[in-house]
Amino acid sequence: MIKRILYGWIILFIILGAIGYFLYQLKTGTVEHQQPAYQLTATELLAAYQEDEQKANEQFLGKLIEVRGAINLLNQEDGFIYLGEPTAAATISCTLDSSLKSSIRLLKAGDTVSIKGFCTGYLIDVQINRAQLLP
Amino acid sequence: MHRFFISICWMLIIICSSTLVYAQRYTSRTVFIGFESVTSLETIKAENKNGVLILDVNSGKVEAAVLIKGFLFRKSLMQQHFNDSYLESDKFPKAQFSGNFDPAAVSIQKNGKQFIELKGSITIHGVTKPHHCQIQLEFKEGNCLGFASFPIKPEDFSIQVPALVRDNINKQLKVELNTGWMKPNNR
Repeated sequence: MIKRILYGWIILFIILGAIGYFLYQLKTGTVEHQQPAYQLTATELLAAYQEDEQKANEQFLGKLIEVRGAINLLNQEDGFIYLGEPTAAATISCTLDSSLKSSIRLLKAGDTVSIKGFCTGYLIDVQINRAQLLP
Repeated sequence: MHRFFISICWMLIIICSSTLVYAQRYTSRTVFIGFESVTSLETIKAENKNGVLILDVNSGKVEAAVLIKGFLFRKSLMQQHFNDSYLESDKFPKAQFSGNFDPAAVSIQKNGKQFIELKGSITIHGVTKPHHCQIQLEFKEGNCLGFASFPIKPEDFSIQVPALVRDNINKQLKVELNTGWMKPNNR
């Protein structure tokens, strides 16, 4: 009887250990199959941060959001897309997921695109990280 | 005629000198900031390519900032613990540096590497501490590349590491910063 209980505990520990190890090794994935919490335009997102950064952070910080806007500037080599008005000093700065950089090869400034990614906050620009270009 | 010639010369001198002063400010929105912790148990690395830096060679002022949620880890659980438990990035979303150097120690006309001593304060996790480090500036035809590497102790910034993983995280993290090539007053 004691042996059975002992074996039971050992098996339980092995299973819990395996689950823990699996969760610990889990890599940071892409946003491809995740639903955005908010959908808005680049102008709306920028205005929200410029009006009240703290309030905007409470709403958007760390959330997966979908932003639509015109491309202000592109950095194809590093996978950066800046959304906003052509002469705007502040933009929505989107950093594409490293595995998806090639998706911006055909884009040019002025094109209107939709981008999904995690909002990481506001410095000079509102920043969107691990972003994916939507069709 | 002579007076006219002198006036033109003065105008050219004023225009050139004001352009030179203007050209001594560099801004980057794509600064690489990474940190690394190495122990016998584990190596932990994270990087952020969206740091912001403003370098004014004329006045010797440096301002830098980075968003904590922008740091990417290979393992998602590490990233989650870093944000939720250690850096509390919902409460303290930014890390900032503000400092000065001796502007006389830098010459943008001289191509090549120059090393400068930077003194200022760094704010992480809502805690501000004095900070001193050496940075390397490289100039090439008016463009500038900045590089710095310095240690940071999490405990100095009230970052609590749970006892269970204390041996996995080095008490001193190695931080690296690379601005990439910056054009004067360019994105």
